[in-house]
Amino acid sequence: MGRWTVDEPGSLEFDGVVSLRVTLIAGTVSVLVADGAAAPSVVVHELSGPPLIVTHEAGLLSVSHEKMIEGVFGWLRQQKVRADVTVTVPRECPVSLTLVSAEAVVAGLGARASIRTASGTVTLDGIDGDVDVNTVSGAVEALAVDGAVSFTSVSGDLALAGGTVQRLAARTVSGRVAADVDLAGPAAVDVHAVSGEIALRVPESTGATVALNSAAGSLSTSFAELHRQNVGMMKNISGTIGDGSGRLSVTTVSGAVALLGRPDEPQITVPGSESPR
Amino acid sequence: MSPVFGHGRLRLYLLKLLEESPRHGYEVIRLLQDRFMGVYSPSPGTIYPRLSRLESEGLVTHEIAAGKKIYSITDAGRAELARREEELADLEDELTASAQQIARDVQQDVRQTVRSLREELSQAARTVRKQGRAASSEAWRGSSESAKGAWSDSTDAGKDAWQDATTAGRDAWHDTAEATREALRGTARTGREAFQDTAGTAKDAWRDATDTTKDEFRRQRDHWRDQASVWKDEWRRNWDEAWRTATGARPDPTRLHLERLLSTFLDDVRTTVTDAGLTDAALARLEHHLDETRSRLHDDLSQGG
Repeated sequence: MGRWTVDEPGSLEFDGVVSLRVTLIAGTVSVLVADGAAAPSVVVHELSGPPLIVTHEAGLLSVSHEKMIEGVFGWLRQQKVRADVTVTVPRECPVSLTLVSAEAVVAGLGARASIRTASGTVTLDGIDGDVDVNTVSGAVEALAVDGAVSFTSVSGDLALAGGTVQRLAARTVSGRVAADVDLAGPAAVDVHAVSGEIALRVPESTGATVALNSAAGSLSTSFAELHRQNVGMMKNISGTIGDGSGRLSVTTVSGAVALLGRPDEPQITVPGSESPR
Repeated sequence: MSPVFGHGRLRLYLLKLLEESPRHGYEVIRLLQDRFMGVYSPSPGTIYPRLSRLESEGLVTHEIAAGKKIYSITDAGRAELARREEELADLEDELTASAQQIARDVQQDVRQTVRSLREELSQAARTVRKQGRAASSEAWRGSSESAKGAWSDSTDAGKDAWQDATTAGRDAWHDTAEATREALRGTARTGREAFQDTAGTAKDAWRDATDTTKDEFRRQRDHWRDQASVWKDEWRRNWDEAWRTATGARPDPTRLHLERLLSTFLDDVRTTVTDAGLTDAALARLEHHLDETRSRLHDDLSQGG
């Protein structure tokens, strides 16, 4: 139980963190995992503008700019607001970030990551948990998210590679979505875009019912089993690939859509060492 | 080919690990964990895309032995390491990488890996689109009539379908007429009975074809209506959500009204153009109208109030 006001670079350690919340206007926040031995910590590298308030109460660790509501606009006008913060947390600690233009990096987390940002880029590396990102124009670049991914943006792009996705729900107005992932058995992928381009690549052995729709965008796929048709005003490519266990649905107004297949990795089945991926 | 390298320290370290000895994925992960003291523990999901990116740049190669992928460095990879010897030396001098430094390295590395994958994906998409276009251009020419029908009015599409069915019906009639003649020539039944049988069958076939076509037409039209309203809802919902995301709060009613006016305007213009027929001349006149409206709005609203 504690409250600290940080107005210059420094570090703090904590005993027992079960969830993290960070609210930052500008700068960077990196969330990494503290393994068994190391204690969760907050390290502030650079700070200009209002001080940071760090609170640790009942396991909830919270980092935010002071007087977020009223005074912050005064600061924005007067001088640069910036804080560079690195937080290390236990692997199973859910993380919630609310940012304006600050950049975020989250790596190695084994719990839920919830990020709201206006224009900062979000970098995710190996998240074993659900990811929920809401952005206006910030780009989201993610490597290996194993879980349910929910992405909403106005113009921010989503690029997702590696990992096994159980659910991918992406809604964007003009952002591009590029995903090169594996789909967990009964996975559901739903992408809606107005003008953003959508490119999805999945293993050739993926099983799913597919529906790609666009009013004005071009549709293309490398899966020969799918068929093209015009349904009223919407162009459409649909059908079943593999065993049809999952669902792959993309709808755009004018964005081009491409669904590609990549050759399956040779199965690595030696027990005890590498597992099939 | 000479790929562009960033200052990726993480990639440099991966190359170094493979220069020491060929390794498989899990080994690389464990070594990185040791190096970064558990602060950064890459999962298989993050390592394999990185290794495959190094591979596509020719710095690394792999072979399968006993069902396991073993990665090893190539001569090009060795050359890259030699080129960045100093950086590598600095990297190795750092006894403990600070969490901040690791985060920075991770951010840069993910960015580069993901961006090159996105490039690869766009390339592949472009190739598939081109192939698809070439293969279907013949088919397009053949089916251009029905395609044009679908694009303009659903009535037209229905008409085309109707016409096709009529032709098919006529063909079916001719076929059955042939069959009738055959039957007349070949069967033991009286000519009159045989004729009535096949005439009856032909009539039934004709009626079925007519009904099927009518149903098809009705279904097409309903589906189109559903799609249009679904599409409108989607559009509206996207606007609302986008607005909510953009302002992070409940949308200001005045602003929201403006957005609604704009989106309704777009919908209506689209419908009008579709109904009237989208010709080049119409498009030119539309553009003229839009320019006029735009400058009028600008003049009026810049006055303020």
